[in-house]
Amino acid sequence: MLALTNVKAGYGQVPVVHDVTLEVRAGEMVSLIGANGAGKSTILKTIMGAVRPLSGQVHFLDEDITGRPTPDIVRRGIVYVPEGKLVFEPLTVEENLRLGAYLVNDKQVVQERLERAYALFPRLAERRNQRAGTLSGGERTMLAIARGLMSGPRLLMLDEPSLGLMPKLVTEMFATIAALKKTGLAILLVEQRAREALELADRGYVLRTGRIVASGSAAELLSGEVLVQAFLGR
Amino acid sequence: MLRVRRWIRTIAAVLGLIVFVGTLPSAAQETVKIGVILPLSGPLAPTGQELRRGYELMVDIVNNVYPELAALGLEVAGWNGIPSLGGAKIEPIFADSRGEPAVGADMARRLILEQGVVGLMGAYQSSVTQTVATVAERHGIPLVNSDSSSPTLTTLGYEWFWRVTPHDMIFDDDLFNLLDGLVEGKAPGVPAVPKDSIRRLAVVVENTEFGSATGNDIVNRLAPERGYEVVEYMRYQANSPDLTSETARLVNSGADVYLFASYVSDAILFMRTLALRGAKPTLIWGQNAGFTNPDFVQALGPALHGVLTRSLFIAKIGEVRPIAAAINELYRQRYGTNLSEESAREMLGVLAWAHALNNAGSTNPRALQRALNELDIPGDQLITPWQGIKFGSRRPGEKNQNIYATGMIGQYQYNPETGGVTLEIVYPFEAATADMVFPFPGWD
Amino acid sequence: MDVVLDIGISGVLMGLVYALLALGLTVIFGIMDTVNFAHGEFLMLGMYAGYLTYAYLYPEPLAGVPVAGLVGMLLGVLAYTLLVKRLLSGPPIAQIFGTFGLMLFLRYGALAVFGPNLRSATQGLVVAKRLVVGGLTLDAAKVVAAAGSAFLFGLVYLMLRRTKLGLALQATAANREAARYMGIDTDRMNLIGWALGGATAGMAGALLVNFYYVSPTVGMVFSMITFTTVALGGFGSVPGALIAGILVGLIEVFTAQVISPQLKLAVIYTVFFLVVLFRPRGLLGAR
Ligand SMILES: Nc1ncnc2c1ncn2[C@@H]1O[C@H](COP(=O)(O)OP(=O)(O)OP(=O)(O)O)[C@@H](O)[C@H]1O
Ligand SMILES: [Mg+2]
Repeated sequence: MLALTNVKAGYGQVPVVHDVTLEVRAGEMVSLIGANGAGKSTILKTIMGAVRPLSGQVHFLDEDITGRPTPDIVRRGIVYVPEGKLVFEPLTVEENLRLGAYLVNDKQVVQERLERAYALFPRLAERRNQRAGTLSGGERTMLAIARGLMSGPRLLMLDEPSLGLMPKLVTEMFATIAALKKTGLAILLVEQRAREALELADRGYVLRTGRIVASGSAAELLSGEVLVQAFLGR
Repeated sequence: MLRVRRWIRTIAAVLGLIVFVGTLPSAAQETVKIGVILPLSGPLAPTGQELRRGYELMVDIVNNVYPELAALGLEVAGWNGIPSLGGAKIEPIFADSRGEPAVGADMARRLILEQGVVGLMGAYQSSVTQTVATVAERHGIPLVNSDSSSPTLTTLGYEWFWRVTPHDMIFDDDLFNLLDGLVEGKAPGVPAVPKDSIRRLAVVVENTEFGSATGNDIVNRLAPERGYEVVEYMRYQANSPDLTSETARLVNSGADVYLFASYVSDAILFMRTLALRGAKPTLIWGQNAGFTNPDFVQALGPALHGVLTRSLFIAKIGEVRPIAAAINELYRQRYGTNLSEESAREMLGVLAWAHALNNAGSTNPRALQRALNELDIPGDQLITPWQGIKFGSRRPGEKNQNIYATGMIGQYQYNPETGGVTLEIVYPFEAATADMVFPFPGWD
Repeated sequence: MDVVLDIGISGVLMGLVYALLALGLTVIFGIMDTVNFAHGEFLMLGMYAGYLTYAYLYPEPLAGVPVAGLVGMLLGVLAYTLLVKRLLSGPPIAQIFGTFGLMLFLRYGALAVFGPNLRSATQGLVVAKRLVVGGLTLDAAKVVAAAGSAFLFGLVYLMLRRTKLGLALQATAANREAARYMGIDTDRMNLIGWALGGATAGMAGALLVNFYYVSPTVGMVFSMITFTTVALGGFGSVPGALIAGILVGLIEVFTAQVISPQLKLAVIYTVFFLVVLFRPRGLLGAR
């Protein structure tokens, strides 16, 4: 479904990730693990067309989407839930959700998805007319994910959804992701919490200073030494 | 041998020719150079051009014979150059001050040292004229000014500076002469009015040097001197987006007479707002500036009926002064517009120079200085209704100011038949071109 | 009391025009954090568009309003695509100098093309007409300009609050990066912001032609007031622009009435300064 081949990308002329080759198959959940500053977000932004790759290709559904404009990529069915819960603070919860369906023109469809989102996150339904800026951290995470789902994606990319959440909420959030996975949605999850992320995933990649240092099934990665190495840099 | 002699003859002939030809330009060079410093570039460039036209036309009249003007009694029109200088032509040499005092002074220095001018004119803005005057003073070269109106210029004791035209305090005097004239029954077509109907004044001036100079002179000097009461002295923010509040204040002051010192933008806004408010003072007067601007007339048209403005020169004067009419016609033929205040000013300046040069019979600075000090041009030579040009003092400490210079006060009058608005002269009373509309008829 | 009402109404009327002027500036700032120093010149060219329509096409200044709107919009689009867009990758100072340069270019360009003369409309439905309402005499032209401004302001506000495009503009203003991930073409939002800013300034200009003179430097008269209004209301805040516009109009008239006419701008700037000092985000600013 999604395939990165030898992608080198960065900011300006300075590459941050090197020679990244990575794949997400239909219905599969893949976790991308790495320490702070390893280049995880950069990879996702490159897929979204927000960072221009210096070399290499990105393919989605067998089409070359390398460096295409973001709206085109969203339209093709990839959605990115950015790190840091970038919600539209001055706007209401519902307005945030509607913006998630910005490229959907069928009002009926938008309405249905809105209802589905509220069913998935009843807390958001209660707060639908509240300004997003007044939400708690957990609620913001929910809103960011729900907003991502509004575009009706085939591939959902989550960037550190656990960031800044208290442990109880982290568990809750991973449960939500597990539920989403069951619907058959392909998911690319970026996390620093390697263990939780891999336990949910089918496969995983480990990124260290911009390079993939390990990959394989989630079980393999969990059992091996690679994880420790990746994080401790040995 | 023969060849040598032929060579010598040829060389001699050539030399003779050179000497002969050499005498030709020296005869043609019999000109009198007058340096003219004006703001010819920068924001005042359009004004500078207007001033320049006045110089050029009057220089032309002095340098060449204009029989139709001479027939009307204009002495210089019969001249072919300066008679006492063997018909030497006046040659104006223009220099651009860019409106900056330092540049003006520098230009004056260059005109004197590099061009060898015998005299100077200019330089429009009083601040520039002042620096030019100091240069003239240092070099002992006469500066005849006819385009600056700051009263201080003639109180600095300069020996080489003369002013032909009135200064601002004279203009203010004119206003009060008009007011007093109304009370005395001297205004054209207006029977004597009770002083109480024009005693209470509102003075409305922009908060700039121009505004406060006029305002302070009226409020501190003239009103008390002549027995008028200032009920409102308003200094307002120039170039305001809105003047409603100011207008309300003015109307509520209960003044009989509104006196303005405003540039055109604020003048338009004030008149419009007053009209909408239905203000009805007995008299409205403007201190030139915005009130004589063509854009002001275009914007307000018939709504100006009855509004007064002071001006140095109003083209209508031709109706009572045939010389002014003839010169105005000449000016129109050449430049397509009526003589303006600016061009009229410079014509008067050149006229003073022409007579001074002729009286001096020399371009020696001392001789010119004496001629200017003793100058006495009769009023019939002028395009303004003055008694003449004679330099002296009208108030303590003043020197070399034309004692006969006055301004004019015009009144906009709407003619329902033509649908046009004309500026008629109502002061000086002897030069009036129409009966004065009094009291101000209001806007309804 | 009568004077208070009389003056107060006049202040509100001018305030509504200031609000419309501030609207364009605050929308552009909200979307892309760029201060358009040429905003007053957009107004000036809108005034010329309105005046020239009146003078050469149809002798009614109100007929110039849509024309001026189009001219203003075109101006906004050109300013963005030819200038501002190119400066976006540079430091913020480049944008400041860029729009400042545009201001000088437009002002002196207008001086070269139209000359220094002041032009005024002298006839029209509301030109120099009085409107008597319950014993109060109002300037019909100002009433219409204020009503037109309020209407346009309301229209833009509804567009921002009720339409998908409006929502996208707000999203871009709130968080440009997140907006991009929603598939919003944020570059186009910039363009629309400039078109909107230009169109509202242009129409405000044409409304002013009913009672104000037109000259190449008239932008100067209004731009300081507009900047103050935007800062007072909060950079990027639309409701703030409305409230601040009316406030500035009221401060202006009451200072002239109660304190001194020559101090009115001084007082407006003092209020502005105090707001910047004690509440830098303005009355209703988000940041
Ligand atoms: N806009 C940017 N311009 C320049 N450098 C950047 C930019 N964004 C990120 N970087 C740099 O790129 C490197 C990788 O950043 P990235 O955000 O991809 O890391 P990450 O793996 O997502 O880290 P984290 O877990 O902290 O989110 C870092 O060194 C970072 O400083
Ligand atoms: Mg990251």
